[in-house]
Amino acid sequence: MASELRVDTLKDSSGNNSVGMAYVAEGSAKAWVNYVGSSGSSNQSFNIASTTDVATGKTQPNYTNNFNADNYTVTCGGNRNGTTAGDSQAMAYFNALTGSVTFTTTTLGGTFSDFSSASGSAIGDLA
Amino acid sequence: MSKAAELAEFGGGISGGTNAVEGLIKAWCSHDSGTLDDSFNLSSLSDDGTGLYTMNLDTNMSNAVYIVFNCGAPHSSSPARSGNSFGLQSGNGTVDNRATSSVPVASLTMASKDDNAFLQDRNHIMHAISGDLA
Repeated sequence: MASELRVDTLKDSSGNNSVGMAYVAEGSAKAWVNYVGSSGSSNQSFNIASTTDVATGKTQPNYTNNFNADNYTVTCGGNRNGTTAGDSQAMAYFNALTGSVTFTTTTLGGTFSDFSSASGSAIGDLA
Repeated sequence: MSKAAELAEFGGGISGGTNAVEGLIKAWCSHDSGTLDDSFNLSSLSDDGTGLYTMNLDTNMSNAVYIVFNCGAPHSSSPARSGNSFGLQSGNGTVDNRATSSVPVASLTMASKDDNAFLQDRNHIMHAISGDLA
């Protein structure tokens, strides 16, 4: 039977790096994914049931366990083609829902473009 | 007091040691042009003018070197563009995407800019901070 650990503070084995359990619960990314833009397929992920290739430059990861509201925090970043240094690129989230988030990737000029590698994470409260 | 070398999932499938503490996000928020939607470890969010927002931390960071992640929706006037930028506002209009020695431990001012580097408000902005707490 799995056990439940109830503690107030988490430290490393040397007794350093102390944080309260609120930071463990609130500060943990509840979902993250690294995906290939052209196909939408994920390389690695956590709490992601599937990724949908919506269109060129738009990819939608779908959560296994949903968020309790759509006002959670998202971070993202990516690499457009993996070879050209200084290649202009940009990534943002387009729509955050309790069950999914849609990321957009574009050239800096605003043209939708599939990135060779894109990553995103979501932080907040699960349902 | 016991000291575990690592945390492990029952069954041994997943484990994490020091990284479990160091890798946590210590503060985060989502807001619409300065109006908070949700947050953690924030005493307040200040709207410092067009495109400028200051996160005031409840519990401070231990020093001025920490990591900041920013993200946001494209501006409504250019919905196809995700090229709008975010960065730290370190004074005199200078924007730097990295935390530097000039970053205070108790608060952090972020700048939101359009494609031409002009300050710009927008809805649905997110910030997250990782590093060591005081």
